[in-house]
Amino acid sequence: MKAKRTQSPYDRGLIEYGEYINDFDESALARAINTWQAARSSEPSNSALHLALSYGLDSTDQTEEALEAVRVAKELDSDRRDAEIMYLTLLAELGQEAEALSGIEAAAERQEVDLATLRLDSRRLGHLRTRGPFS
Amino acid sequence: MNGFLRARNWVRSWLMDEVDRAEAAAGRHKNGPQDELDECLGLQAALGEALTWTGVPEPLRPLGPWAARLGAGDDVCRPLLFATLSEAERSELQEIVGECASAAHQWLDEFGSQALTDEAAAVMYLLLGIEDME
Repeated sequence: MKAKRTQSPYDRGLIEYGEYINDFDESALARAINTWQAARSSEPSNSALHLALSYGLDSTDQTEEALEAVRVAKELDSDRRDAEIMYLTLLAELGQEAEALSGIEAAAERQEVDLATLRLDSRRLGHLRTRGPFS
Repeated sequence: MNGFLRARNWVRSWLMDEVDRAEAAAGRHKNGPQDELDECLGLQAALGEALTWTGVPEPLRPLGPWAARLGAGDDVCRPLLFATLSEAERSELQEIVGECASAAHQWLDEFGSQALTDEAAAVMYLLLGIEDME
């Protein structure tokens, strides 16, 4: 049995997500989300799993669940800038602007983002709340 | 700052890279499923030829040809191999496994924490494939 390949549930979800993208198969997206949700118990520390799940949930307008998943991804790997930005985006879209702005400013400081530019985009946050500032 | 403005694009780009990685790890071929099946058939044929059933309990030996053909440990290949079965073959396989399943599980249990032999692993994966088939 040397030529054995095993798939983690996370990877299985990725392949299902790929089927959704490549074959325009909507049911494959639901399968990917289900696979990733089930995989949380077997791969609880896999930050990528939680981020992928968040993206899938967000794609199906399950924004609050997506926020929770990306929050976990961010906490598991504090170096994940994509998770942090996604988290702040969803926070803002869910109307939690104060926390989002606070997070944006903290992230900008850590990453040495130009604060003048940041202020402009922070203002956009309030104006674009209903559509989402970062999408 | 672009990340703030295109958060979803950023994550999507990363996710598609992950999909490519997972597909490559799974041996998925961009050229289509036939290539994948051909590769699985080739791998399994080589594995099947290496199995020897003389050390397997006699009541389980009818499973040998089926385990050699379908008992793939590869999670990607196994369903592809099962998909090659005709309806008649499926019926025959289910009948044989129905007669041997209890003894097969008992034999597998005897390995306890010891590593399975290749033949035992092939039987285990055959049983696993049948469960998935049902």
